[in-house]
Amino acid sequence: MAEIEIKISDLPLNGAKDQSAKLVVFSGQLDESNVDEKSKEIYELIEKSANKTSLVFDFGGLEYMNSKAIGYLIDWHLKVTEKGGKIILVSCRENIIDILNIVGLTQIVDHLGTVDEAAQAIING
Amino acid sequence: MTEAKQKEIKIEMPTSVYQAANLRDLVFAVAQNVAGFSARWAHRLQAVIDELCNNAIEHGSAKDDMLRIILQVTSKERLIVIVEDSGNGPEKATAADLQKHIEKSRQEDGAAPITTALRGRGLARIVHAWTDEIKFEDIEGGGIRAIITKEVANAAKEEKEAMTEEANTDTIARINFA
Repeated sequence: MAEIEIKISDLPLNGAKDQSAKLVVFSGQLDESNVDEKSKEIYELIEKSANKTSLVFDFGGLEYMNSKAIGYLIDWHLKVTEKGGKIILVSCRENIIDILNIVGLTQIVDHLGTVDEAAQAIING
Repeated sequence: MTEAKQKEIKIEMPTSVYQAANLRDLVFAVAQNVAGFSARWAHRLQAVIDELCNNAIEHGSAKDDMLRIILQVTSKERLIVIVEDSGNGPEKATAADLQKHIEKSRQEDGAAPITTALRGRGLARIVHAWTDEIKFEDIEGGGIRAIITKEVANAAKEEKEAMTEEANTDTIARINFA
């Protein structure tokens, strides 16, 4: 079974009014063996988060994701957007950006270099 | 002129998604170290095989079946990967059905919105984009054989074209800021 660890923490948005953010750090691989189970953690996070909460996904430690994981990512994007927030990906490895590009996901979900850049993008709206 | 010899690796594994990570590692190593693909293409081929195997496990096989995967590699020339399922799965698709699905997705590529396009699990998009050829055959006695081919020369050419495009994009940005 592929190993995957997800760590969730608050992401401070200095000076932002009525907005909040969570940092979600992924380490390992998301594939058919674990993605259904692990996706529940993100759905729970979205459900419990206040409106206008954005999620910054740090993919620096994510070595692989399959198409099902990408499907979940799209669904999370839709749910977070419905609640007035956004999802921003940061630190994606080349192979992750490659697969997100080929399925067109980079057209709808922002990806930036660092967590600080993502925080600034959320503050700037 | 000495022709490169084709090497073959045959794998039989239970139809369990828990073996997928091991198979991906093997495909990556063979693609990069034996066939001679770049790391980028080795990752891509890893994703293609993963998608084909997941499809074979989910749709083409029953719980205690075995999946057969054959890697045919000719150093610095090509990688052919064959995935065979048992045909005992819940969906009784034929090779012709799958071929039509791939062709239909190829024609619709770019037209369908991203959200609906990925409901189909990405098999068609990923496999279409990152292989030179994909064929499906019905196996006598039951099951479907998926055969994908990728030429090392084509991969290198596509990578060079992509790098040239990226380099040109940077140049255009500099002109705009001048």
